[in-house]
Amino acid sequence: MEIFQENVNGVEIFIVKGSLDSNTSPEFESRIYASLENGQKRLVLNLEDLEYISSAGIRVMLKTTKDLKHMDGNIVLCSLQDYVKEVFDIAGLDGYLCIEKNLDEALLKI
Amino acid sequence: MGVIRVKVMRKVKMSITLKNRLADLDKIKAVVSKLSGTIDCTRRKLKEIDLILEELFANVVHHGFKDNREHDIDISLSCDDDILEIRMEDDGEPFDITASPAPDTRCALDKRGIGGLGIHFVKHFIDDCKYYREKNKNIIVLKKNMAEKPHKKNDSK
Repeated sequence: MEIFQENVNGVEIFIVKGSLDSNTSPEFESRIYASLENGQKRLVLNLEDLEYISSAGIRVMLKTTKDLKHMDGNIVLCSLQDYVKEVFDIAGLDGYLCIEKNLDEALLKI
Repeated sequence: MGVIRVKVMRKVKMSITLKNRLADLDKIKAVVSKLSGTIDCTRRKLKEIDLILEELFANVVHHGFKDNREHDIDISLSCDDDILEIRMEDDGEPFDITASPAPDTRCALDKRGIGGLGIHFVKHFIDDCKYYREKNKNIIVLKKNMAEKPHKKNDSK
């Protein structure tokens, strides 16, 4: 897994590449929470190059979404590959999360 | 004239013994990678197999043992034509995967728990699931059809 971060007009964009599994998700979680502790409350996850996700990665997304809701923040995901999208659908996360087709749409929604 | 695709599907059998530590997940990834060079299937199917094995393994590592000792978890994969059989054995606490309830994926976000998703994923991506408890061991036998289905499985509940 590789994570790249950039801040565009107060929106923290995470580009997550590779695999979010039981071994890599803790690092993903700590990167997200380091950002929240720095005061970032508007997050966009660009998942264009995320090839694989398991329940460990889904848990981090669910927890982040809940915590941001309580902080009056927001999270938008974009550019999901078919497999990742199906895993989100099976988990029922499509009902809780704002998922956009591409980064431009995500930046409009955040 | 249509293109005739010659399918090379041999009988394949692989097995690995893992310890109850998450670091051994790498061994699962290595086996799935080896499988990709042996059987004829799509990358998508391989991701599904990867997910099934990770969730089964992570579940037993997280919840299977009350002591702090090292335990063996045996996983074997065998493929005969289009059917992949996954068998996992562990000497952990009894856990009947077939009786495990599905999480409520449609409740309000605040009430939404974060448990039970892994097994929910496993059940979604397999076609047959059997559980036995023998000689203080959990034995799970799963079957997955590796042929591409003409229609997407519609089971998002």
